[in-house]
Amino acid sequence: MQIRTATPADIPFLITAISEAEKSGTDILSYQRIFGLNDDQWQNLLLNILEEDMLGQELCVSGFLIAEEEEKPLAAVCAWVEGVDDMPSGVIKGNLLAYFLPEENMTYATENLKTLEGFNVHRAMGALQLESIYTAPESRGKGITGQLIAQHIRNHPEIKVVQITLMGDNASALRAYEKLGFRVVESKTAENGAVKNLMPGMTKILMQKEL
Amino acid sequence: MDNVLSEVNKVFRSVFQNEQLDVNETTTANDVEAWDSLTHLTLISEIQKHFNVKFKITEIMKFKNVGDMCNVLRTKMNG
Repeated sequence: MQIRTATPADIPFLITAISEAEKSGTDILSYQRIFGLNDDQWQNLLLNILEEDMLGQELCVSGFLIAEEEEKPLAAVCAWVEGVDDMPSGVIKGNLLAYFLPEENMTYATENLKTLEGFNVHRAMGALQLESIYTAPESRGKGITGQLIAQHIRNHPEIKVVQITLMGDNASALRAYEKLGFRVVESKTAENGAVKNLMPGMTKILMQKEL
Repeated sequence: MDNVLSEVNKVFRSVFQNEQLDVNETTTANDVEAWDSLTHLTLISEIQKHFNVKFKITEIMKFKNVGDMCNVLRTKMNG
């Protein structure tokens, strides 16, 4: 098995990885629910954003490491250092969404965005962030994402803190990250029941590992 | 506070639902609670509607603080 940085040729696999990771083991893809996007619209939006390759946030081709065997991708993990150039990743991603989302989908999302206000955890500036952690179903249980995470950490020798966000209902992911030395440092549970129609869970968790 | 900053402040107060909020040219996302990716997306969308402009992606990506946003707005409004 080889580990390498993703290239634009990997975008189709990355679209799968990002989508499935976002669903967190459910059938709810938050971007589609929030913005009223069908599958083609969502994939087109994500393609446009990935082609910009903006560093410092989770929807960035260059931020991904891919594990592959015989040129077939098996798993992917995205990483970035939070607050690069003093820009929080949320602002960079928000900029990309604002630019590429059609006006009608922004209008559709107005009430949904109000529902989700405050439903977030706080990434630490300067911490290495890990997102879109995905292994193809047939390759699970072999510790591949653990190897990708370890490689991301080796690629950032200056980093002292590593963080992961996940949905609290994803018990298997929580256990897997605990085995890798991560612990829960922040948890946010939505009070508005409507959140369950928009997100793959009612609780967001931030896990952290000190190096 | 000039007119552009004053109008931008109105949008911020509306998006963050906080009539006490006062942003200035140096305000960043780190200074305002609940300024995350979805709030930021709403901010950009509402600013564009309020000022009847469409930002280029190269312009949006340079917004490190409210002042950067105001400067682009002033340029666009001055033609």
